[in-house]
Amino acid sequence: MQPLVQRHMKQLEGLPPLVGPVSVKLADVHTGAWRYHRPVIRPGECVLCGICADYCPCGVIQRQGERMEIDYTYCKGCGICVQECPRRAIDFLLEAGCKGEGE
Amino acid sequence: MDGNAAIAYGVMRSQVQLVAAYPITPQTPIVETISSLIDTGQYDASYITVESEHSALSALIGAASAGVRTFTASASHGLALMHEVTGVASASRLPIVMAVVSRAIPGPMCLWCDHSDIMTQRDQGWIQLFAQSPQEALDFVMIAYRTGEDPRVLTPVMVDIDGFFCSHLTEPVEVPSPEEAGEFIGGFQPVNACLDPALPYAIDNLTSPEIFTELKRSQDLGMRAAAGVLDERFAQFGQLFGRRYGRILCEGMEDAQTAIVCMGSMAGTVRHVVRQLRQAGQRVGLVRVVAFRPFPTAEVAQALRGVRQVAVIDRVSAMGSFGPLYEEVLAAMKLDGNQNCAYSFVAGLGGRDIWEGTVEAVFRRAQALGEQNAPCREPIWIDLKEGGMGNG
Amino acid sequence: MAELDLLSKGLATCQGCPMELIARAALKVLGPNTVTMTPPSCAAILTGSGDETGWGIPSVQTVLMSLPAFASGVSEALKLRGRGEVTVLGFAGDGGTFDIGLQSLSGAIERGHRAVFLCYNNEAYMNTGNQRSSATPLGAVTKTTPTGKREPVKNIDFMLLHTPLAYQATATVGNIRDFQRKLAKAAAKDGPSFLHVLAPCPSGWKFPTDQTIQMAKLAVKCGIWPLFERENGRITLQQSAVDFSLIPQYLHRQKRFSRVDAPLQERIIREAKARHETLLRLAELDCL
Repeated sequence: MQPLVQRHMKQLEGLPPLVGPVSVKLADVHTGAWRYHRPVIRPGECVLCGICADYCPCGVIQRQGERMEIDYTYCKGCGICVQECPRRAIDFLLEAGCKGEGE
Repeated sequence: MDGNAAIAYGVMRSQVQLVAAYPITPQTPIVETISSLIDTGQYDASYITVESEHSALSALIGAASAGVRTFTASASHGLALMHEVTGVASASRLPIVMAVVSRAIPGPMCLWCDHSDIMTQRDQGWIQLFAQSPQEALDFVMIAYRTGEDPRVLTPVMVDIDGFFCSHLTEPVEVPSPEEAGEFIGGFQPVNACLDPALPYAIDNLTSPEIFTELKRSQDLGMRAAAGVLDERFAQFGQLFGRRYGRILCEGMEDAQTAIVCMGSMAGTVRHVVRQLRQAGQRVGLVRVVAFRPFPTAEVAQALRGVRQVAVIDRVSAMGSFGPLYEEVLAAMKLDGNQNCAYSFVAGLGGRDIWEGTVEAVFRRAQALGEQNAPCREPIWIDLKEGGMGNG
Repeated sequence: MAELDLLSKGLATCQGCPMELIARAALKVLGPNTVTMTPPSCAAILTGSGDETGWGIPSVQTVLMSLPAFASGVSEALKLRGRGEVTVLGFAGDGGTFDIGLQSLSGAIERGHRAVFLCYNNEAYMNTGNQRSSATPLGAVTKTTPTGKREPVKNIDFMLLHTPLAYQATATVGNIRDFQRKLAKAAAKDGPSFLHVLAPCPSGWKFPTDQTIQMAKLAVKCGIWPLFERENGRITLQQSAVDFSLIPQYLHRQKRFSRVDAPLQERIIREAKARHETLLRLAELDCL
């Protein structure tokens, strides 16, 4: 579950019932299923500049300690990170050849 | 004080926090009065001088969603322009109050009164109260807030006054003191969704077929609950201020054989004629509909029991069909098992005066038709002049 | 920068959508003390549908014609409730800004409400499937200009130069840091701000989804999209060297310009130069 979802749920707990069209849940579409190609970062070549994360429209790239991590549950495979990486350190592999959502 | 000023004072006494409105004849003095009360420091509120009526109501939806008490006023073209957002306001369950100073909807272009503007809003989910006099206009504004904001209701309210006939009619008006008014009106606390960074929800989202029907039904239930709440508020208001109102107001209905059903300023003239005719021994009566939405079906039906012929005057023509008030009254009678004659009259369009002669003509025609048990095949244009239809 | 993403990750926007990137980058600057509103448009996908929303901040779905009026009301109401510090963000496309929403925007700017009006400009009505708007460039094919648009764009930036905006700027998704810097400035103003952000749309402009950022960078480099800000009566340009000879490349990389012939291309270049020249001269003034 996205941290945002958790926060959202927490804040809306214990609210009195609302009337009218009020949306209280976080949209959480499994957009990873759309992917044809999967971006995969080559750890040795990544310099952690964070540009891929800055330009990812879906916000699925985050720095985790000493590596950049891609959340494949949501990555739609647009390829922007592959294109924008100044070190060309991201491969774009056919999804069909990858195993599951974990790497 | 005229009807427009009375509305403005009603708004101030209702402790409205935010007003957004666009001037239009014959509503303009409301806008001017409120902004000058604010500008001169007599009234502490925000006034957004919007660039259109569409923006006026849009701004109010934003402001009401952010948790403040709001007001706007409009008429005719302006109300038509607002149409898109009147439905948004009611579906969002925002207790906005709007004064409608009724003026014919074009075309032909016209500055004067009829109900063709407010009737376009009939099914937009707003409570609709028709005031007859400046005093009622002020009182109904206060009652409107206390009704629309009730957690059982959460529905916006239109208070209608007739353009010029009421808006520009000067009569003595009792303006309650801030303390007296405060006792009735109370402070405003938003009870529904309210924009607050601590609560990240989306208001008025795209609604799927899965829940659309249920949201509309909940709106309908809010509107239906408004009937009882209006009764409570009218009673409470009567106790505090001594002026007694109801969703319908009757004259001579205890034994009337012929009755007129109508709304708005013409009711004053009808009441006057009814009193005169009754003094002359005629059994006539008046059923004045104050709340057109929610429609007082049971109350109207009860008032019309035993009446031989009913004449309904609509100040609007539903071209090719019957007037909206007539259809409601007819439905109320039929549902009550009342098979007596009901005749549809159209009168007072585009500012044509409904004077005593018009009312007497309606009574005469209804009595004559009723004596023959004639069916009502189409509305009777009672104040139509001979010729002149080509404007030549 | 906020630690927590304030926009959901699982949103049904298209692959390579610049609008989603703009929203995401915007919230990193504005933080949770923000209320946003979207008209019916691609941005409505962020606001969501049914009982779900993509925003981690409060939002209102407005009507297309009057988002800025909604924002006016929200802004004034927040002030009345002692919450004037909350940022009010209007998030509309070119339709809701240039066309049906223009009157409302002009009113809100003139009245001086504290709000940021952000326009993500994807240069057509993309949510309804790509019909021309007045922001659609000369020559572009859309569903309502199947042989290419015959009119140049309405230059909203120039139109707004003489409105009492507290801050006005253009930006693109090609330079997110520049966009974020400008948005931070806009949000700090005690008045209306307008931020016009180029949003190259892979679906509508017909280019590969990984080229969104590249297309925006090229738009700036070739002089099609001038980057500037207006503040305290002055215009500042963000780029000095513009290479107009790159315009043919910009056009060729998007299939929507496939109908542009040599004379039309010349006209497009001429108009880009004129726009740039106008801006250079305006930048010499201090009375804007």
